[in-house]
Amino acid sequence: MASVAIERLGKRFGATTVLEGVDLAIPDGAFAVFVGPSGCGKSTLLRLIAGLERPTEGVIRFGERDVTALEPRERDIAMVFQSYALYPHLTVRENLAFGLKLKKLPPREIDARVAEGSRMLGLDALLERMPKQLSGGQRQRVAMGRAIVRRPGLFLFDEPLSNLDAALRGQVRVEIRKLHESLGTTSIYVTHDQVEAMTLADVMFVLNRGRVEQFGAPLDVYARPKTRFVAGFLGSPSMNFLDGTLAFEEGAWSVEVAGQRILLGEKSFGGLVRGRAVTVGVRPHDLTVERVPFGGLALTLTFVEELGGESYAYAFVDGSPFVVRLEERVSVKAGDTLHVAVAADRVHLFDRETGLSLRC
Amino acid sequence: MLAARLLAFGVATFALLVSTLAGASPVRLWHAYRGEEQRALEALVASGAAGEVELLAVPSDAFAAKLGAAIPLGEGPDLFIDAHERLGDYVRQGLVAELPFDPAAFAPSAVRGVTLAGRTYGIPLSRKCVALYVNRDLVLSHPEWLEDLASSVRSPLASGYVLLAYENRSAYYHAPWLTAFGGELLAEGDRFGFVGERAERSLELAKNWLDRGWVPSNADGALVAQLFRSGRAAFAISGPWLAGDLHSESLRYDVVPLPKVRVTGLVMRPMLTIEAVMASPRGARRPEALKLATWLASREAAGERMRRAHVVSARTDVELPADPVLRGFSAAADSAVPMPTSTAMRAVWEPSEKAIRKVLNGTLDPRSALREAQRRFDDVRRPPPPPASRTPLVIAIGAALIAAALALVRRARDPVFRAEVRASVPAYRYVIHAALVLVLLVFGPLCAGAAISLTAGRPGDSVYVGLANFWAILSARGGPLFASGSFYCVLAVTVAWTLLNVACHLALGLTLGVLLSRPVLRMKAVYRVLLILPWAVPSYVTALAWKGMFHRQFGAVTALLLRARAFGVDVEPIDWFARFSTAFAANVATNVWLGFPFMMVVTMAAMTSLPREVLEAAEVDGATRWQRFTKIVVPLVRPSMIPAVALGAVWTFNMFNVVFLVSGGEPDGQTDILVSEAYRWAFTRQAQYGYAAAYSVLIFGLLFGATRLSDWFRRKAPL
Ligand SMILES: Nc1ncnc2c1ncn2[C@@H]1O[C@H](COP(=O)(O)OP(=O)(O)OP(=O)(O)O)[C@@H](O)[C@H]1O
Ligand SMILES: [Mg+2]
Repeated sequence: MASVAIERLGKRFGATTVLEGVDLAIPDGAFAVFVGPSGCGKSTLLRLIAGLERPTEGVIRFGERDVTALEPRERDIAMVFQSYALYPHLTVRENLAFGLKLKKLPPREIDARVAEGSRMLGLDALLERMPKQLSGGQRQRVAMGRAIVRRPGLFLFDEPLSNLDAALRGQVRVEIRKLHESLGTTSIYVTHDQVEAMTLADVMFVLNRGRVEQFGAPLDVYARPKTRFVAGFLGSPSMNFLDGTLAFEEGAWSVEVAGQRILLGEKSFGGLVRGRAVTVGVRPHDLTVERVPFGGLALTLTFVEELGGESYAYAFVDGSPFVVRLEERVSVKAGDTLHVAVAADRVHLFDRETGLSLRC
Repeated sequence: MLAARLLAFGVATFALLVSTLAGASPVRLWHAYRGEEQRALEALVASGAAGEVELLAVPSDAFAAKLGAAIPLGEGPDLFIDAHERLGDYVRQGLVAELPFDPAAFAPSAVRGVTLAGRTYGIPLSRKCVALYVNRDLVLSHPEWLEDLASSVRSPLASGYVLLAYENRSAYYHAPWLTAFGGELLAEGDRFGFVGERAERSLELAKNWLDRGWVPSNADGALVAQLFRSGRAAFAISGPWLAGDLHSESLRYDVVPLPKVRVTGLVMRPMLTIEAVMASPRGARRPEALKLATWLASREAAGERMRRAHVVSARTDVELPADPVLRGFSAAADSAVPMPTSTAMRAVWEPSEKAIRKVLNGTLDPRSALREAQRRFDDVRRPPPPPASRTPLVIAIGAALIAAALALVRRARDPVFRAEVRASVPAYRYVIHAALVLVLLVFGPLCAGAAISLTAGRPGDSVYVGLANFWAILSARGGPLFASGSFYCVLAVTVAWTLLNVACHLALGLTLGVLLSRPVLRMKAVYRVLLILPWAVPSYVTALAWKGMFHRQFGAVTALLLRARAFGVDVEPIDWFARFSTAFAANVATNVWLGFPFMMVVTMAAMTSLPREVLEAAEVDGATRWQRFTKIVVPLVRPSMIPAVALGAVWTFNMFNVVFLVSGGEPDGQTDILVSEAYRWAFTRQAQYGYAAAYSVLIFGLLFGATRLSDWFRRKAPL
């Protein structure tokens, strides 16, 4: 078991800088998730931690140990690859035992560990099969089993669920979390799927363009995004953004957007300056429909999507797309005008230039 | 009976008709000339004195084969120009007709050359033999005696220089040494002549010259030419072809007849080749053809040829031009002995040269070596096995056909099989032409080869002998089973050769392929091209280059070894082809050089299909670089390597080029593999095509069996 600490980590491939000044700390036994859009450098960061790539600069520590210059096999880690990377010429049993044999464990110990691992993952019936005789889900389990039987100090997962169908993905996700709870091994999990990130993480790291944008407990990050990028990346459908200017009238702050007004209440906080150009962010879930137009936005709907339990109404405000989640079946249709309001504490404000939140 | 007579009459009339028709056509003349000689002939023919002539230049390698194929069909030439030593063969095959002429104006040796059993077959045109080249910059006077060569050079020769460059391991070049002791290669009555005291003394002399360092060891034609051309040989024994090489050089040299040997007082008499115009049986019946032949051999034509092509005429009444080289060769030809025309001569070369080599290498004393050569000659000249009854063959073929027919009938009764056949008829339509081509180009020749293996004797008069050839091969011709040159001994060498080569190919190819597949490697493309290069060069070029490198005195390998002396390592130049181990090693080195790129390319192709993440998984799982190679890479590329290895094994098993060109079977045929041995039976030992074909059938059987066996193993243990 080990904590992971990374300092000023940078990675360049020739002229392209993939990671720059990454600092992060993962406590011992935590389940950390790296999330971010495609190409942001998540896999690269994970591979640096695994030792499959060498950093251009910076330090990686496992506990007190500086592992920056160590080979992967010296780092006491196990990794589950996106393609599972099973050894195609070995049976499931041999796949599981491969790392153990290399460690020269006694055969009895190997058998015991393989039996235990295959029981945990329900692989007992598959042990004598070759990888090509397995389904995608079964291969994924074997890949996990191969990692588990090694009993490493650190688990690394690189999008292990992305090749599974939606139902299976949900199921395995829960299993991974359970496994983590029973094993208690520090784990790092890379995904671009925010649902996975939100549900699995003890601590979540949102990456963007080779940098950590924000980290923390998933709900904290979701509720208090520090940047416009994080706000937009988390949540589905994603947050609505509108450009506006701050105003203070009749003792209350508000944002003027295309001639309409979103109220922010009387309470003042840092960064509220009259006339400041800001971007307002409102999650579709935080909007309520008003029967009477008061202090909200009037929307002309362009399209309504009904999903059964809920529906989404689409509109344009000042040329930007705008989505509203409608709780029960409000009977609206394209062309209708809808008045929506938002609680003042659910309005996110970002500096239009820097994208930083005004609330912190 | 009547029908047969009518048929015979019909055939005769037809033949007559054909011959009269042929009479209307121009005279057809085949030759193998190139360059100056070809131009001279064309000029002579064009001069009009000969009427209408159709000239055809045929490559000299294919000359005899083409004549043998065309003349019996009536398609061949009326006249052809060829060397007299082939007359024995031509007469036996009926390819050449008697051609009487007035011998008065011709050199007696030339007339003797074209005379067989008292009849002349062809009119001599020119004479070719070797003579002594003298480098005037190094030599003061033309010595009359061989023994004076050393004392006639201006100053002691520096290292890197030789006194006399000649191909001392060739029987053709040894012949003058032999004649100087009164010996001959082929004796009266087609007996082996290269035995006895005279032969022994000639070998002792040649060995003595070699031991004194006066003669380069292992010299071939190219080396002799190079040494003399670069002025590093005081003397050389060579033919007119060397003079052709020297045209552009500023070298000052003379050509004189070979000297005398003082111990016997006899002249070294080289072998004489007489080029003669010969007539096919059809040509001999055509007066205009005879007229052309007479004209080509006339005094006027001879003079013309001498002026244009600088060849020594076979006539004695032609005025010699002032050209000193031509005069030298003319004088040399006067003392030369015509090469025997007997077909037995073909069986002389190989045993003689093996004996010469053994003596020069010091592995055997002259007497034993020559005795062994005689035994070899007698073995090759052994009368063919008696004709066998064809009945067993007919019965066997009949039985096989009946069995096949029965099997077919039984299958045809099966309704499932019939339905399947009917369903696949359209598919057969698509493959039928490919199948036909296969039958024509693969199975046809295969069956023809197999059929030849059941016969013995030379082409033209071969007889069916059943399995006698196979029996002779498998019983090691009655000698000890593992004697040098026996089938089993050669097979053992071939198997060792194949295993060693394939192992080296695989080890080297796999290593380099894996190294070149590393993603971090820089300049990969450059290495790749460099390493594939040995494969891209034609194998015979490579083989010859390597042979040159292994030359004892002048090779690159020797130079490297000598360089090592500078570091205090005491090494002697190695005579690579004098011992089995080194000759075999030289062959293997050459073939490994030729063969590893193939394995490398296959490995690289297999590596690209290797998933990178699997290797990384192994790395994370704790595998070292070597463990990743043995436990992941090797098992994963194995399926793609197995066919490549099988293919490589078959190629190596039959790698004729390298064995033939690099070691040439030396020493004493010990490094020969089965194919090169088969080649020798076909082409250097009395054209025993049946015997050689039996060898080939055995090779085919061995390879076929081996592939079936490996298939079976693979099916038993998949992946
Ligand atoms: N070997 C390499 N050479 C050059 N550029 C690379 C290399 N590996 C990755 N990159 C670049 O680094 C960036 C980050 O790659 P990375 O694989 O870490 O992305 P990711 O966040 O895992 O994306 P995804 O979610 O699509 O897997 C990409 O722009 C990619 O093009
Ligand atoms: Mg990735």
